[in-house]
Amino acid sequence: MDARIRRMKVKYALKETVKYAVIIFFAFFMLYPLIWIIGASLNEGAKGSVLFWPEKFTLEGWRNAFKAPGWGSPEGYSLFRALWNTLQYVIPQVLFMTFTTLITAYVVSRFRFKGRKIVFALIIGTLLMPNTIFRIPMYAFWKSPAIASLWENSALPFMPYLPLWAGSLFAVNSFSVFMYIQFFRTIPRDLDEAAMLDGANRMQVLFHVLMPILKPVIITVSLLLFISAYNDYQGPLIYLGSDDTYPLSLVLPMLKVDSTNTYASVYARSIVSVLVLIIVFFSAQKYFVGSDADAAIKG
Amino acid sequence: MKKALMFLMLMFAGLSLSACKKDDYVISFYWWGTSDRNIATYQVINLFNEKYPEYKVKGSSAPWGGYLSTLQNRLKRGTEEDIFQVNYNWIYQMYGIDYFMDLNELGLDFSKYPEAEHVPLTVKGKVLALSASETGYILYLNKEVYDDAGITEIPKTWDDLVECGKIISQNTPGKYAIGRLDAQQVAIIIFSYLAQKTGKNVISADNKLNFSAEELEDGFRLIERLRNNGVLIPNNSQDTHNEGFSNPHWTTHQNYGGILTWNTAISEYENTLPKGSELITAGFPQLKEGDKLGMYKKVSMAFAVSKRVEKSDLKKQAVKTFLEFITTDSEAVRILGVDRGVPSHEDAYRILESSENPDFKQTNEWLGHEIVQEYYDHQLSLGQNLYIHPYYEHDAFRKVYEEPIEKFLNGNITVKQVVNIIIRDFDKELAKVME
Amino acid sequence: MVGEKKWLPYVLLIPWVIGFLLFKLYPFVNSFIMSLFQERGRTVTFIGFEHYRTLFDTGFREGREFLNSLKVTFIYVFITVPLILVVSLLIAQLLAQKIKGVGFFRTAFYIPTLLGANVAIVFLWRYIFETEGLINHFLALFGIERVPFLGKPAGAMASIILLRVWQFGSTMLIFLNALKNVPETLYEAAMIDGANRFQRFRHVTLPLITPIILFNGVMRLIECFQAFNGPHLITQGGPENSTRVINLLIYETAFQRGNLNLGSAMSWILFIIIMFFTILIFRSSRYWVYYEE
Repeated sequence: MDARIRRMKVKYALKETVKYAVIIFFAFFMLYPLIWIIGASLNEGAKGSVLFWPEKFTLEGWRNAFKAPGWGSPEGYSLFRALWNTLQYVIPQVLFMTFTTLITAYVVSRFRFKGRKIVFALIIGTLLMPNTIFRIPMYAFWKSPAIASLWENSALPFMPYLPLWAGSLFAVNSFSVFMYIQFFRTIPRDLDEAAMLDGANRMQVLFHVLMPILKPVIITVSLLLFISAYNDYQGPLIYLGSDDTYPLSLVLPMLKVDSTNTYASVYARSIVSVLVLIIVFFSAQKYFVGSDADAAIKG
Repeated sequence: MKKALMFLMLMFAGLSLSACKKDDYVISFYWWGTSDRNIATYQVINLFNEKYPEYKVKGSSAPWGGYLSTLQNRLKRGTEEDIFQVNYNWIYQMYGIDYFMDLNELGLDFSKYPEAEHVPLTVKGKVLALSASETGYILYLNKEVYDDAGITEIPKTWDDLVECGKIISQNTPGKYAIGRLDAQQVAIIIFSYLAQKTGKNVISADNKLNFSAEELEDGFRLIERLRNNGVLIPNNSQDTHNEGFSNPHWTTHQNYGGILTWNTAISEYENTLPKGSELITAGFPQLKEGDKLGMYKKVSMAFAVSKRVEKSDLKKQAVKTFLEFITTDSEAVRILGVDRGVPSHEDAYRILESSENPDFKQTNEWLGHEIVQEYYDHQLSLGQNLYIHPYYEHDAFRKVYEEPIEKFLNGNITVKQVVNIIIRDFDKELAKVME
Repeated sequence: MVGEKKWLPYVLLIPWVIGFLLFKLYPFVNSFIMSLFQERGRTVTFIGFEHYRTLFDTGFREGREFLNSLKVTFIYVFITVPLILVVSLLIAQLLAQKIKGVGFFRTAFYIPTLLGANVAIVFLWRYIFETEGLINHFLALFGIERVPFLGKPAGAMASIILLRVWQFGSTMLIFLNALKNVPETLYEAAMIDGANRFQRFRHVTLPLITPIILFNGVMRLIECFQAFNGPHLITQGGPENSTRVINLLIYETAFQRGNLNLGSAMSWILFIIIMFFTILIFRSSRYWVYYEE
């Protein structure tokens, strides 16, 4: 009897070890590039070894990381300007889109009205449509003389990036709508009806009754929107022409290696850039749908 | 829905139009460059704004990477800057006749430029851009690589170059007399070499390929010879860094001993070498020592002016003053230096020539420039016209010869095959692009 | 409902309606119209389906380029999508079991996605595949001759496929969520019936998550057909156009060469192709997707 239990315990321990080994093995490949890049930012010249340890240590990269002479003026802009440029479209995009897609999903999931099926079908339809089909005409639209004068070279904040976030006012991100709708499906209608019997109107139901339950999915949606807007490369590439408007996703690949822009500083800047994302991600990831959400609903 | 959109658009158009007129003393200037050129240009703009407070220049720089497409699309939509830097062939590729202003109307003094300088920039009698400088292909060598191999004399002929290749690969294995060249650079070698042999421009006066299959094969055999003897790397697929100046083999490891490039672009390569490195101007390899042949040249870059400037006298004044400023004001000229090449404008040239600190005459741009002009003038005296054809570097057309050459450099097709492809497609594609 | 205003849903949907009309329907129709015209300088002419005919004609350079891009894109899509699905499902399955530090691992697996098109990744990826790079370094240790990966079509394609598969984080999270929703009771019942781990996976887990596999598969398919960042930044479409995926060609045609009309025609063909495969997968789903209802 004891022997069999001992064998089972050994088998179990073995399985656990294998499991952890595989996960750690894969996690290593996910993380090592980041460590390598950190090492490269402290290395002079192009990095030529797989080991992350710098071959020729230098702090020059980090000293130059935050300033880029020649970029925009003789002294050059600071990296924070690129970060601010990025935020000028990321923040409106995330804020407005989270909100408008929530309202849209709420209406489609909870209201009964004529045309509901068509709207739902259109949302799913546009979800499956490739972005490229929209890109060229939208580009022609935003760059047409009448419209371009609205945003191009505007002195106001947020406006020079209008093409990159205007859609957020109109709930165009079908994926977010879809995520919300799926989530609404898991919330019983009784909640809404009980609140309305108590005299609450529709909007009050949404913002007071359902909001606490929706918190995880709202955070998930905003996080995904944030990441995709922050990393958007082709969007800024086609709309932004002068380098004083470049966001991080463009500044990094565009500023070529030259006399004031060494390899080390390029690596250092990319670390700063991804650090923002990592911090945002790490703080929000515990809300990811699938962990707290279940508890919230069952409770 | 359409009506509502139309109404909205009209409203915005009205708003934007009304915001237009008052600021005509402000002109916008758009250029591409790396940090050195940008810093210098911004300084010059600040200087201009100080010296001419009645005008205001707003500069904006962009890296090379997005410049062409941004400019092209701004031109289409009418939102381009007032003055913008262009490559010579863009006058044709971007339909300059439709979009660029005729500079004759600005009242600039063209007598300060060499007589033939603006002919390639003139379409239907209209001068569509102001030349900054001319440029030609020059060989530059990394002194350290040649010193390490024990070579003390600059190679002057193709045979010399092959000798250097052999010595370098023997004494310092893993290094090359030149290194990696991309398809365009190899194309220039072939066409220059053939020009040295035949005196013919690659594109004839009636816009056709000027070389026969045998002649082209001869050119490719030269490339093979260079690859077999340590001048060029044997196969381009072993090093896929497409950008020469940021290639670690050039910058960090310094395995590549030389580069063939436009003399106006050499600072890109100098900037990425470690401190203390030196590049030597080595002219252009010849068939026989003492020859001065095979030198193509073109206007390197120019400044074009938007058609909208035609409509406002004030803008015309401002633009004229600024363009004259950057070519005649001694402080401005010295700040800009030779980064956009050795200026073709007489006054600017003299200012830089007489400058002792810094001594521009010793820069690699200047030394290369002298050689380009000397050889080109010599060719003219022999009746050879090796001016780069306006469509030679056209974005769509250039693939006709660059793609097969790239395949050849990667070792995927033979000399006979690449020659056949070029002969098959060259005239057809050129005609299509020029219609 | 007592006191509910009938017009409320319609009013609340106005933003979405405007969004749909302005940002989806208008460009959708307009891109087709644009594809029927040609622009040279300031003159615009109607040419009907000429662009479409050119794109499928190998006699034209545009046609050869386009057909090559289609071929390259198909190779990329039909290798990458299955790989992503398999890898992310495998890792999700491992993470779904009780693991200490699940939060740490989740972030770790998501970091590649966060790095996105970061230029440092571009340098790193080139370094990995270079002739004197990481992989060749290892090959040399075993005495294998160096392979110039980035210089060969297959190698360059492998590098961008690997980049995309390395960024499987988001797909994995969706699978993780789905796996967590499989009721424990089903696993317990299966264990009682004597099923081992693989059998449990095959007969309990897999069927229940087929809707998510369908969802992930379709979403990745649509996304991979439009791949851009990797091919643009790492291989620039080379060597010799072997990684010039269709979205890269559209970008070059429409935005670099300024030919919006030809680019629109290309986008429409891409759209039809994507729709075709999406519908195909959905149609096939009735044979393998198990809906719990």
